[in-house]
Amino acid sequence: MKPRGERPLRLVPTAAPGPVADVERLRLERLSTDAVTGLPLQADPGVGFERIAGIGIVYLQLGRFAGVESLYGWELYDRVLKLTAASLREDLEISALRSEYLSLSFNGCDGFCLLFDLSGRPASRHAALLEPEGRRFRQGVLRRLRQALGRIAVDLMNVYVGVASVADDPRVRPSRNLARGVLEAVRAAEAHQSDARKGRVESLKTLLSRRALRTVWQPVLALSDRRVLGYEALIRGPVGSDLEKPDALFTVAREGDMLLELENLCLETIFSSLPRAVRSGILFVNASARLLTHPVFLDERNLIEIQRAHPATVIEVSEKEIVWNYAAFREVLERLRGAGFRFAIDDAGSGYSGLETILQLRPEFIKVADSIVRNVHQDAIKREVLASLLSLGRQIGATLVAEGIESEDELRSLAALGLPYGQGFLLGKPAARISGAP
Amino acid sequence: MNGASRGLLSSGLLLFAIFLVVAAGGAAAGDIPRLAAVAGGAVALRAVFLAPGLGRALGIFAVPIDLGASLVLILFALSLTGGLGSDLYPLLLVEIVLARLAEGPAAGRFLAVVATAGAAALAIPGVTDGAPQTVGTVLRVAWPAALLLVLEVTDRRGAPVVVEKPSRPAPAPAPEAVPREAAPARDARQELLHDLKSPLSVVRVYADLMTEGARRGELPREEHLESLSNEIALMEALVGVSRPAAPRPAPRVAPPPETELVNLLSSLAASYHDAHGEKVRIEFVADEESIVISADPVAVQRALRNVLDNAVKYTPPGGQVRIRASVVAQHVFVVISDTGIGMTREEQKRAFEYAWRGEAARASGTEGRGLGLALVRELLEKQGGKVSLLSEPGHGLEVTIMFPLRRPGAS
Amino acid sequence: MSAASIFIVDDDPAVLEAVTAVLAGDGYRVTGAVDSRSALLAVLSDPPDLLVLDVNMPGLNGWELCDIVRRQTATREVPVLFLTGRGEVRDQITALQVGGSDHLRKPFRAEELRGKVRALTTGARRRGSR
Repeated sequence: MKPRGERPLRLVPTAAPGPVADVERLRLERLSTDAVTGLPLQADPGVGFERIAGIGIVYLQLGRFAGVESLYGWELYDRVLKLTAASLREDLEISALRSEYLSLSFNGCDGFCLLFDLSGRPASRHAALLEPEGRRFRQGVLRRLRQALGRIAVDLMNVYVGVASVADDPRVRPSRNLARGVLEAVRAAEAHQSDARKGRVESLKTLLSRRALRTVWQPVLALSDRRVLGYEALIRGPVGSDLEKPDALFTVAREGDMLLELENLCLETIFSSLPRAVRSGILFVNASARLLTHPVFLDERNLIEIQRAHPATVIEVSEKEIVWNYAAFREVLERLRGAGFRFAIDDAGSGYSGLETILQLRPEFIKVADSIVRNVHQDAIKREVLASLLSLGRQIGATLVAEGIESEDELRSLAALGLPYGQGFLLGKPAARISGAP
Repeated sequence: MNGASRGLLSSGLLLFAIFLVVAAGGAAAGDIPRLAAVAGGAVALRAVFLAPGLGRALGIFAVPIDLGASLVLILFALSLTGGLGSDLYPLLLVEIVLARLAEGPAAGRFLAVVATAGAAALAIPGVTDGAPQTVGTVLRVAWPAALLLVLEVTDRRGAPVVVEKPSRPAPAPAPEAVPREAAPARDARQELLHDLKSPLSVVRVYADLMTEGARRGELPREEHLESLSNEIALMEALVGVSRPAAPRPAPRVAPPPETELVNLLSSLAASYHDAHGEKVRIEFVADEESIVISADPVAVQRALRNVLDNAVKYTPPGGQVRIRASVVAQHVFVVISDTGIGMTREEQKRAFEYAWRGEAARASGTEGRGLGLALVRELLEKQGGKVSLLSEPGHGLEVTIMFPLRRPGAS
Repeated sequence: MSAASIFIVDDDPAVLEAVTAVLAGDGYRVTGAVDSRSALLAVLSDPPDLLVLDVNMPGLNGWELCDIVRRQTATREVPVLFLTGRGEVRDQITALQVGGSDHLRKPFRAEELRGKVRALTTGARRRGSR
């Protein structure tokens, strides 16, 4: 057999079988530290904590985050966590309890735990020391989040603080003593949160029973001659209330487990008050995956009723919601198309799936995400994305609508690319009354 | 009740209602054409109610009242003039009432029943006899019409979208009612497809490299071709291309294979002795201390085991199996002989065919698929060796395996 | 400019050889490992310019390896390219979430491999990590 040619691959020696100390240490570290914040996942007051006479605990809970993460995505939530951790570290430097600081840890989803050595202070004073510090930490976090993220997410979030302290008791194991203290602080924070939540859920319940939603209409226009193609129906809560924006409505509805009722009311509100101008064009209505796949919605009588109210209805679903559920959605689309509905993919181009969602489902309309339209005149890559969406649309017979057009430059750029339709502040703000064409 | 059966039921009820109204009106035989016209009109009405879009399409009114109410008003006007309108009118009421009975708010349904009863009562001749003509007519037509308009109006305020409130909160696993697409169950085919991806990657990369090389006018590299061939063999094995006893694809980083036979045979002999020593005597003789051939030890061992298994199987208790290894004229001979049942000439000829067992073997009642010797030949020939048989029935079998001796310094 | 160093980990030695054939031909210095634990120790003591990881490996899989590598100061900035057999969207997101830089779906072409390696090593060079 001929000799092998020179082999350019150098293989590292295989580690001996069985656990290797360094690797095991690294694996353990990985499991015990949170990658995003860099904080330990266990409250660890350090070696010798058993000898500490009194430990103070301040617990900060980021409220309502399950909703935020699934609405806005894991990247935003990563940022929120990093900002919170950074804020706490900075505020620790200037805190009155700086010299008593023991540790800062993260619970893996929404809670931060600070431990302080309060053995030098009388037990009766602990609460009075910890509560103002807790409030300061909370204010610091809220301020930095608002600065960095603006009002979007912060409107939905809040930070709840709970404090507790444990005194060393020779009859009790120190480790369990500490664990109980942490739980007490967590419960205190949760009590604040649940009061606030109860209040919000009650407000939503009242809103639902009074049917206090209103619809605003945003026109979709042809870019060439500003002719009206139709209107998108957007839901608003009572003016000036905490529940005015749809994100707030849906987050609270999720907390109170009332999502289906909320969507039901949204549809009723929209269909019971269609202005004449809307009746003569296409109606774009947003629906969630949850609603569309619900058997009660898909019931034939229901679909007939909606069709009767407005035959040219296009149902919009966000690309982000579809990407996990092609099979389920295909079935839903059959039903809906059979009943006379048309379908739009909303936020197109913003998800991970590239063009696959559109290819799989062949919607009649493609609504291009705001993020792509924003400053499209300055960004060649965004124009490339639009060009591919346009080309795809032509192939499958889908009509493109660009969302979120805010400037003349953007409009010109889009028109130059050949986009037929658009909506946005520039072309018409969402309004309850529809006047003549803008 | 779904749409179709509801349609059938209400059509049936409608025809029954026609009968009642006509009977209450005391129809005579000569009324047949009129009856037919009435029935036809009723059926047409039925069709119209099944096509809700029609009203809008006809654009009857700019005001959003639907077709039912529109027709009520038309026929109200007609009925005042007598004629067909006055017959169809009660039927129209019944039709609308039937549609409302199946759906709509409870108040609507109650009003519907009242309207039917009222219309039917007023249709009976003689009920309005006492009152002046106009009053009677007005009562007859106006009152149900008013009720119907109330029905229409109250219905519009109700839910155009019939999504019922869930009677209890959605069950726990569905804060989204949409199940995540579960990770596909990995059945054997999936596993296979997955396992193919790595070797396929390798094949693709080497193919690309060789194409690029060819374009530059270079010959493909030896080691690339070899790796390519190995990966393809692996993929064939995964896919299940059956090569009976195909040797393992040559190990990628192994040195050229060689087998030291004396060690191999003596350890085989020892193990067979341990296993079968009580039944037959196992003996091993070698002429040299070390005999090396250029062959894959695994394949050689497998072939030898096959032969030895056969020898032990077909030799009755008390017999002997003898292994002899010698070197003659640069060739290695390994002879395995037994004192067993042997084979006839015919059987010897066919011994190397698959799935064949000789008479004696079958008669001996032992198990065996008969693949043994075919496998042995295939294994050995792939390694560059040869195998042959010699036997006399009833006096045992001699299997001779021949290999070229490995030349020292060759690799 | 000295050649960039690439470390590749895959439990299938044939893949290691094939990828090396392409990359060494282009002038990179390639080191490999068939087992993730040895790879980890090697990478931490001598960080490469690019780490190429198979996802499906016994013991420590590619995701875990990347996660650990990302947490250590020495290797925090090393770009990671995943070789993945499955193409589902979920995997692309997991690749991002553990800190990976890019991924290649098997079976891949030599040219695809080259392109991604070039892009990831130029970036590293520009960041001045070496």
